[in-house]
Amino acid sequence: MAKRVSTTIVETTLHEYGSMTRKAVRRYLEGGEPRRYLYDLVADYPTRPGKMMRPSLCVAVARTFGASLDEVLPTAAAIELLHNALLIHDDIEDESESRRGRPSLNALHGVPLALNAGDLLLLTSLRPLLENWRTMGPELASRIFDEAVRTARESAEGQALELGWREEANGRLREADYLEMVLKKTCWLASIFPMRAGALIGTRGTLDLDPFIRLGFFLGAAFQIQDDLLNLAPSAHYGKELNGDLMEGKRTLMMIRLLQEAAPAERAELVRILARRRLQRTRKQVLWMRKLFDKYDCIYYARHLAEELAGAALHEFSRIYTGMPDSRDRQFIEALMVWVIERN
Amino acid sequence: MAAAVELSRPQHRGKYHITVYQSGWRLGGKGASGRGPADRIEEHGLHLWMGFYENAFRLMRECYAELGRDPLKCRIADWRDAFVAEPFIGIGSEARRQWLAHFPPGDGLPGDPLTDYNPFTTSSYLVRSATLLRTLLASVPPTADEPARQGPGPAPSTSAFDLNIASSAEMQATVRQYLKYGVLTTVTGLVSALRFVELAFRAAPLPGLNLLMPLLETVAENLNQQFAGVIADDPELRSVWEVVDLLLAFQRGALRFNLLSEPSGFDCLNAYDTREWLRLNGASERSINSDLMRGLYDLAMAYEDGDVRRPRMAAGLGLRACLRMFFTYRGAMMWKMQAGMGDIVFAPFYEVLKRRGVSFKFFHRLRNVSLGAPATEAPGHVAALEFDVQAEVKNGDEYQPLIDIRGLPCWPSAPDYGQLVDGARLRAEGWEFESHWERRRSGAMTLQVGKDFDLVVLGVGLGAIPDVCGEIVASNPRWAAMVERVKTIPTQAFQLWLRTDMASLGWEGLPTTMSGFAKPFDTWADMRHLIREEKWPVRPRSLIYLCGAMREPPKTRRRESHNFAKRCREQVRDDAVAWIRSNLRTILPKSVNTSGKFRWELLVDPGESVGSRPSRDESRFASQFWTANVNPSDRYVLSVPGSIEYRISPLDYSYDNLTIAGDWTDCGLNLGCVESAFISGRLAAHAIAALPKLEDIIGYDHP
Amino acid sequence: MTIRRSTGSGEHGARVRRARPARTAPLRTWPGALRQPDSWQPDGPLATASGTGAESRRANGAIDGVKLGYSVIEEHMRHAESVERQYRSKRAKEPIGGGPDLQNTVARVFRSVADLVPLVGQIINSAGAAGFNQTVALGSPLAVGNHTGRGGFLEANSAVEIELSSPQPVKATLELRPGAERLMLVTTGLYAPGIAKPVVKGLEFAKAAKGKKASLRIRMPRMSAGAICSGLLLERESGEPQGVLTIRVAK
Repeated sequence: MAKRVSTTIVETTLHEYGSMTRKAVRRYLEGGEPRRYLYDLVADYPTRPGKMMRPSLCVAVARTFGASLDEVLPTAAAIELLHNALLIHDDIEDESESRRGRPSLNALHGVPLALNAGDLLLLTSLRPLLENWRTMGPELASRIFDEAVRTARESAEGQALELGWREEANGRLREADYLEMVLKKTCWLASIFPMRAGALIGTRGTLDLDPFIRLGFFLGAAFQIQDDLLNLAPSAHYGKELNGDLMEGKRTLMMIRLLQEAAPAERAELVRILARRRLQRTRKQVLWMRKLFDKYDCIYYARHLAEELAGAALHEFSRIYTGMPDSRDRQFIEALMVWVIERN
Repeated sequence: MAAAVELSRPQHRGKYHITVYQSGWRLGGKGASGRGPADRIEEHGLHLWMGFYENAFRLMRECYAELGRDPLKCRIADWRDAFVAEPFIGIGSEARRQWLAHFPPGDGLPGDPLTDYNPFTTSSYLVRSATLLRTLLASVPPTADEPARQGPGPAPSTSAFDLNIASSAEMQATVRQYLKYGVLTTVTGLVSALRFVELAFRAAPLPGLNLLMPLLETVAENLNQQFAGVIADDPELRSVWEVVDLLLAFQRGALRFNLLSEPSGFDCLNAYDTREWLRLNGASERSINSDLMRGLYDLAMAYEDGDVRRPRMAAGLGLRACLRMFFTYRGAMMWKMQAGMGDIVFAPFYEVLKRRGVSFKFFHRLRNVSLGAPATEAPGHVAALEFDVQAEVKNGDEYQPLIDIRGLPCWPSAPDYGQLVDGARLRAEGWEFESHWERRRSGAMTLQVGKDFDLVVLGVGLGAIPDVCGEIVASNPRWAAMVERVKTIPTQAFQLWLRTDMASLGWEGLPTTMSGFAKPFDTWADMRHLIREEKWPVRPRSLIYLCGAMREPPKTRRRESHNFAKRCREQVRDDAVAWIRSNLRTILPKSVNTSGKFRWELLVDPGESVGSRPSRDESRFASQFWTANVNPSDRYVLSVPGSIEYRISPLDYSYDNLTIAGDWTDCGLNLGCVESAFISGRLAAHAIAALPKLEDIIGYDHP
Repeated sequence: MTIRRSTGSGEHGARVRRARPARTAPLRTWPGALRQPDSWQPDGPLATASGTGAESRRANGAIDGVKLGYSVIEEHMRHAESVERQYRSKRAKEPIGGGPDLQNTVARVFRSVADLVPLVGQIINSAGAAGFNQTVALGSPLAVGNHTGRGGFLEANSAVEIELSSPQPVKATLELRPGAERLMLVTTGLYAPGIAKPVVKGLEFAKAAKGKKASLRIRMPRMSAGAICSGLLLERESGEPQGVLTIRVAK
């Protein structure tokens, strides 16, 4: 019963806040010249369809604390722009070929142009934050700005961790390492920053923001694990290629579990495969690794951990929101905790 | 009282100067009791102390230890004198069969210091339920298909049972084996499957625990088949089967609803009614309507508006209560008090608190809690407390509330008018100090914050909140929601003293407490152990207490004043007489004459003298004791589905100098019972003083 | 029941309040269903009525996800807090841009972008129609982005004072560049948006007499509710802008 409700309210709210954010984003994407080599590229990712979970979360949290849409939308737009800018860089770093159902920017235009566009998009994402100085006063605006800066730093550090693992073909990773990486690389941008920014805006900076780090972490981690699980399950709606993570050699939770559980001969082979570059991995190897996931219950394992993290997220949610009035936004945020692991 | 006990502890070094304001002459609220004619104990109803009441027992034990009564002078000196284990609980039905169960003693005693196990976890409940299932089945006599014990295929190797289940892969494989080889068609196979289930639960958390579901479902189905043929003839087996069915439904539900990792514990189920939830998880209609389930609802008086056609109990709470009651008790599952609750609980509390310097102001009735000017940000605060001074004590002394009953300090059933100014007149005019509708008073008093008090612990019953907290309810939407959504019902009770012993009356078994019996007085208890407490000219040999929910009187009648209370009493009397006429013979078959009519002369009148001739008609009932608990503050709080989330916790910070206490608050247990009252009092103390630590309030932080 | 607290802490005459509890709801799973609380030893035997003396033990290899998650996040927050403390103490000692560590410098460059407009002090008028006079001392600039939510605060040893009088409740905000409070500041005037004429004409900090602080006196006229006016603060010698003073009238 609860599951059905959660899907509807999450999807309608994402749709609603998503469109509002897109509209706000477009203001900053009107570009100059050169269009063909720069501004069209910059506008590409932000205009592709996406879940819009990050900006929606920012808006919803802000509104649960009493902010108006006008106050929070610029920051939500900044979050979406920053997210897309980092996606451009991610795709280059991962050598990905597709994004959200279409070829990636680097696949379409080559690395140099994509990189340049990514840099500009990154700087563009600061513009709405600078506008905050005028509309909400310097103190609040600079705190939000600081949050953005910290988020960028954490993302970069998280990405560095993950890339470093690939470099080293590290076979001795543990779940704690994975969670730390996800926390920095994904959670700060996906959930921690949007919620903290929303809370800052809504409460005018009077609320302690630490609980949002916990909440955002559990939510974002569950979200990411589910993302990785979805990558393994065939689905027409999904934005990345099936088994793409395995092609990349990404150290998902399932992979880490597999490396821990596999028999010595299997592990040796795994490490060998993972040490190669993406282009050198064959489909046959990918399928073999996929079968090993089943053999060692890695998927059940990851799913169970995601469920536990989502449960912890709900717990942290109730710690923050106990006693606060019910509202559609509050219900949305609460439903999100379940949605992140049930969506497909 | 629990809050006062906590806040007056020596550790606080006298930081809190406490004054208790009580309407009327006795402490205890719903739990107050008095001594009437023949020193007979007169209670509001039947108060049961369960073996899982860790907080209640702990505080009581500390109290008695601190009091240090001389056992030579006082017959209730140690807590073991006050509370005695009751190992026999009964479930009755209207059809003449009663079901008695003996519950083996649990480790230790309630209120003992914590040992090294934690029984309050969902996984331990699941393991215990699996163990219990196995035990129950193992006690089932072998059936006709005994020769087919081996089944069409080999049972999974028993050596697997001594290993821990290390991975869900292993578990999955074993489940498949069970399902594949038809092992589950035999009782032995079923028992072995349940042992496996128990091991699986013990290994939790384990990914893939849901793999047990098909196994549990098949087990349930096969058990059904196994039992179907047999239970028609054997009611005892039927009861076993009902318990088995309910346990299986619980286990399936726990897996389906992911209770092992659910952050809010069982509370996530509170939108469901308990029976509804069990049904959802595969329990059969028969088990859901079994005597056991009905008995549980009766114990909790879980009838909306007191209407027995509308049983409603929030599933999360129902489960929590059952699991704690059955699986976490220490000593016995139930404990009986050896005198009235006022004598056992509130008199010792009073004495201990007096010694610690707490002041008591009796005959002060709270009328209104007045708030301070609303601030722009929460929290608000209480600015003043308005009281009716119902009566004044002569010479401005403090009222001495206790009387001595042969060495035991007790509460009387009527105030000591001799201590009161104008006492004779008050008595003559029949002032009912405990009645909500009594408007007469000697004076009024207002306490101001800062001047007369700093902090308030509000201990009135939920039913009284709209009256005394009108401002709060009007200005605070959460409080308004609470008084609207959290339901209370009036209750009723009567007590019978009979001149012959129970065996002669036809009850051959051991003294029992029984629930699920004939409505509306569906719970009765054999209280013969209390007779020695009383002093009758003609000594009764049997004593029975009966109680139950009272149907909510229509609203129109409530608006009238004290006549209403009187009429309710009359109604209870009429209902009790009718009940005795129809139902008492089921428990006491020899209490009726040859035409099947109840022998009223069996009732002992405290005014009768030896050798007098008792009358034989039902007017004799007037000599007994009965009560209609319709005072708003005495109403019993329900745990109806959808109401729990509206309760407010004593820790709530809406008012920075006010906290609340009572079994109606959000205290974690959230069932109307003594333990909830104690937990809430300790929470109120924490709200004031940050002690006791929440982690030390046993059972608070648990599913 | 009522409680009188013995006097001890708390300001004289202030109403006693109880402290806000750290939490107001039970923690049902943490530590609950999945972990033993501290007051019980973990992995102890389960009590069983049937006396089978079972044990509760976790199977090998099964991870307690919730526990793991909390340990990761708590470690992260602890680390961030200590890094933050380091930055704060370093910045208090060294001028911006200095320092040997490149990584620290880069981080501090990021921070100084935000530091360009640090909050220094706030004055809030609550006297209402009768007007008020209130003096505030300015402290040294603090790092903005302190994630505990407390912004600037007022320190005792400061160089300048502002005296603001107004017939209505107003909120004044002063933002200065680091070090500017040591300078002699003037304002060209306080202007409301869209109006050419200044609301308050140009003002100058009165020079500090011996042992006293330099002070700026501002007399606000009556303005409409919700109005804002602001003005640049310039260094008197060089005319370089050093900050902004903003006055907001309450709504």
